[in-house]
Amino acid sequence: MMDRDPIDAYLDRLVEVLHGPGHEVRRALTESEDHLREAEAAELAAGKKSEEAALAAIARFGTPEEVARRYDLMRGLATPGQILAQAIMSLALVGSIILISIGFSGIVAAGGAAALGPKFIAGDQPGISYTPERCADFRSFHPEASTCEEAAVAHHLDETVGYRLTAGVLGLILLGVWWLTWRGARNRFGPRTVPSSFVPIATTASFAAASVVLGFQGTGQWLTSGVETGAGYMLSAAAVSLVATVVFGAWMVRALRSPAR
Amino acid sequence: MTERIHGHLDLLILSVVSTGPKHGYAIISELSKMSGGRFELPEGTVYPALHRLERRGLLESFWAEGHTRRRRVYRLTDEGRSAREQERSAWKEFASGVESVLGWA
Repeated sequence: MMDRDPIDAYLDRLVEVLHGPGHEVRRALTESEDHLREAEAAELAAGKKSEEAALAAIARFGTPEEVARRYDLMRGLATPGQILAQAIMSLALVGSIILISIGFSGIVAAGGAAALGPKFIAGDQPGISYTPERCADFRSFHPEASTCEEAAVAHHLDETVGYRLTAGVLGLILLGVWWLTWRGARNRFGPRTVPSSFVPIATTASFAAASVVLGFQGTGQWLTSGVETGAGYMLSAAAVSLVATVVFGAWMVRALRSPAR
Repeated sequence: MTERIHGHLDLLILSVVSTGPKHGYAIISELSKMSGGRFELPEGTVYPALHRLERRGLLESFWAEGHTRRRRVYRLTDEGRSAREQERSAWKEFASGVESVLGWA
């Protein structure tokens, strides 16, 4: 037994993907519900059970995305302003996802430093030396450090983790603003011009490229200079990028298979 | 097949509605019945076509009280009737041309 009426769930999804003025959306919903209920009644009369009848009616009706795409085609093209707004919204979503992933890499960097030592993330390259003034600066941040090098590593680690976490928080704020804007003004963006597959493709491509570049750089640094020379700085970011590539890659495949891409 | 049907959907809908005012479900059911089940397309995609035809002035619609719900009923306008006749003539001519070519091939 299902907890929720499938037709209600379908209509909830349909209202999320329909664009256009309120009265058109309301009429589309009313007609869709009327049709689905009548189709459900016909399936029941043909001998199907309640849930089967509702699901059969939905299957005959088409996916919400497919139906919404036909309404978009019916209304014609979006205005240049709507196209620009859609492009900005899509790029803002991609940006927020990337910033949040940078925040995650801060957490991974902190974990890597705890597990393998701070030099794994923030160790300096061999041969680096600091002026007495710079050393004093590091020591002012970390008076507990016994050497200038130790103070420098602790300071680099603070910056690495701190900046990445700040990026993550900014990403969450941007995502919140994006969501509120989308929710409040969805109908003003007009017929969809930017394909729904754009965001998963852009994020997957970005994360895949970051995985390869950061992974090679970090591994190369590890192999040539050792584990305590900051190889984890790149590798922590590469690890998060790799996981994100898999997650957003799955979303991309699903979006490309959807008839309303 | 679905895209091919959508290419001729306007004429098909105008023809079904020409037999009398109907609500969306009845139009879609009759379309399926009259085509002998050949024209099976996602039923929800027919409504945007009905709205488009209404915007073009070929159909008009009004709310009617049903047994349990009010529903939108569509009927042909005079403009829709003449558009249907023109489209039907054009289609017959086209189909006859195609048949002639296929008959020779």
